[in-house]
Amino acid sequence: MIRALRCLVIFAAVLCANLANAGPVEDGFAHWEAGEQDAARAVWEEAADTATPSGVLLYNLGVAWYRAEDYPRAVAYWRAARRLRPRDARLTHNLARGRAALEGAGNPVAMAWGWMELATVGEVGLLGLLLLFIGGLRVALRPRAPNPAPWWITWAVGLFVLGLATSGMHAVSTAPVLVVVDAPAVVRGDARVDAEERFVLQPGAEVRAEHRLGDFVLVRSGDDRRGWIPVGAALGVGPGAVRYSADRN
Amino acid sequence: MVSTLWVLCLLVASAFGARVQVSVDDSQLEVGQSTKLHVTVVLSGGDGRVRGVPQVAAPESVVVASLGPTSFTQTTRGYTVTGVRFDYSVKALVEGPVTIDPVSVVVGRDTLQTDPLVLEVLPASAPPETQIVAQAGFAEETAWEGQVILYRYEVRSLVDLHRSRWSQLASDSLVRPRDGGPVRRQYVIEHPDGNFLVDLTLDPVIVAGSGDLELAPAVVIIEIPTASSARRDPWGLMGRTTRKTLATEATTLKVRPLPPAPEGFSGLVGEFDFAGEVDETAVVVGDSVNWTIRVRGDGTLEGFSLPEPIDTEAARMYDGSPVVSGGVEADRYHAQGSYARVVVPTTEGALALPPLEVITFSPAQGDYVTHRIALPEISVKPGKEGSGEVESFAVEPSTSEPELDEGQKVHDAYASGWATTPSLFWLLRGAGGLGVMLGIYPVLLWIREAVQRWEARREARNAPPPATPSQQLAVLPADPEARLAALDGVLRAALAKSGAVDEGALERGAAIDGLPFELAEQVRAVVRILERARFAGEAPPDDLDARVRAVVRTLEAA
Repeated sequence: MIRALRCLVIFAAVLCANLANAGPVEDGFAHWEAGEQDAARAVWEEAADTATPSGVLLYNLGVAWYRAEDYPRAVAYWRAARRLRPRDARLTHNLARGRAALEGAGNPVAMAWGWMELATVGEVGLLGLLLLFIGGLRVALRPRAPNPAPWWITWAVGLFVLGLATSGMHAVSTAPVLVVVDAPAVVRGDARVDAEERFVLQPGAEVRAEHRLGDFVLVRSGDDRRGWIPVGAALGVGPGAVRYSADRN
Repeated sequence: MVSTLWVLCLLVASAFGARVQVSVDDSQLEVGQSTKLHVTVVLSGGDGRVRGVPQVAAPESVVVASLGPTSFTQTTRGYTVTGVRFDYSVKALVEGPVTIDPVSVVVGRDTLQTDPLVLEVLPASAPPETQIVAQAGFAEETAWEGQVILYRYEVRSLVDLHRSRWSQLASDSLVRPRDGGPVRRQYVIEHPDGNFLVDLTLDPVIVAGSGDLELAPAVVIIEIPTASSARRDPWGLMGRTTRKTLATEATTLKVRPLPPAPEGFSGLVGEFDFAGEVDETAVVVGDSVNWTIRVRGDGTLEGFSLPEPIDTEAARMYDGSPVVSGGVEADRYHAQGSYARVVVPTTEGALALPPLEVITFSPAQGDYVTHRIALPEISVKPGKEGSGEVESFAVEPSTSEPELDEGQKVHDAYASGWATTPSLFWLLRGAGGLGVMLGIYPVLLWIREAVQRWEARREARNAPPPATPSQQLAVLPADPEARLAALDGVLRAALAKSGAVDEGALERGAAIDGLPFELAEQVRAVVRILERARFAGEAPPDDLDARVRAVVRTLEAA
């Protein structure tokens, strides 16, 4: 009980900290309005580096990179933003525009779970928690009440939904989406520079990272082909992608 | 790691267009050793994109392979730079000097070139004689007061190392420079007699005192993963290690004091290069010219500033904020600084100012050196007067797209919103706590009830069979009322048993009517006696017990 309360307090504190930390979006937009694209992007990127970035911040970074005509980076940020704002019509439109600007990027790799196209992991987790709370509390407080079946069903559905959310979070954190940027990435059969070349991913190709070995990342493309690419060849945005970044050894 | 040092070095240079630089983690390699080579492109606004991956041409004595590009955006002290860094793996095969040819990088429509890079490949050192060897000491035996030198911590091992921790370098005469800290490198040398791991840390320090500086032996604690733990825990989460503590030998550094300093000594000790450039060579009176003086050397720039600006009749001067960085690269300490001086010409004509003079101490020459940085010639024209209007030819910044159909535009950035999102870690930890409370507790409750039901069934199954009516008659209570109730109960039980019905569901009248006539009459008579004795207060006959026994036996027999 004490642990649960402590976690709730921490969650509330994080929420309050987020409310208080709403400045960088506005600060960057002030530069943006003044036509200082690089400065705006720097403000937003600094904010994105210091904490878990919000969907709005990632969306704005995508717009900034799109304006700089770096479409692969724009897609990378919009793709990351979509995980946090799946029902944002502006974002969906921009992501489609960004993908349309790419040449030969191939099919993007799908979301880890289909429901992520509609809801975020956090939303599903909260729903599961709510159902678990309602069902569990009723059953716990009145264990001998007549006809407890609906409450047990609510409880069980809550547990299932929470399990889905946990599974989604695990997928996002362990197998994030990376986007090839800057130059075509040669996909090799092994994590060695002299391993056989299997195919080439063009800038903008959206792939799923599966494992890191030294300076190479094992990726799976949208058409289900696998191979190793150098760590710096693809950009991943979000907490799960940190382990696949070039600066993390 | 993005080569921060190079980025900072190129930071100011980016104001003059895209710049490219080549660097290497280790300029000295042993045969069989690999290192990383970086081609760093710093872009300024409007340069366009870097096209393709630059090709690095190298002789056959080394093998070069691309590891891919990494983009970066870096903000330092008010400057923001963006760029791309291309990483390559370089493996030395043959001993001797190796020259990497200039690398060409295509940025937009321009082709930029790096300087050539020289690597020195040394013969492969022999593997350590014992399993692990630790060494620590200065790279040089002598140093000058104020010089920056490197203290090397090195572990060579034939086995894999989990961790190594060195004791801190403790001496009042050694001070760490403000810019740049220790650099650690781990690499494997492929040797015919067996590959071995080198764990090297280079710690830059400023020598603050003079005389013989004696340093106590350095101590390193090494953790080696045990083979058995790797088998037990393939994920490495609970791996076990064995510890080994090694000590190096004590070292002595001879520190020479600086000779008497000339007037105007800048305080810089090391080999330094100075270069200056201006952003405009033709201006009008009153316009400003940015004169950038770049300093690079192997000493610290801590506390250094340009000589005080002195206004003349020809120009006024103002100093900007310097940008200084430093660190260990290619086995040497390097510091670089960019010092901005704004020159505002006040008279027309060719602007000629006396060169800046900076006096440094060169450890290689053992003497003071005067560097002169001349201001490039600037032509100053008369200023415009009267109109009071400023004509700007700067390109208006724009964040909008070119005119497109509505469906082809992308939506603009959001003006406001949260910058961060709550971490799901805390949410799911909270869910874990609540899940324990609300998810597990009902399950425990259900389990408890199920266990209770199971125990009740088990008790019922294991309970001794109920006593027969005859057995019940053997233990009648002595109290008269209780005795009458017990006799009534026994009779009722016997009736239920004879009718094969549950005692609780027995209807006594119907059960008696179902008996043979004579027996039914006997039972009715006994029942009447019992009821009168129990409820009407009549004294029971003395043979009541015997009559009940007889009826019960007959009922059981029936």
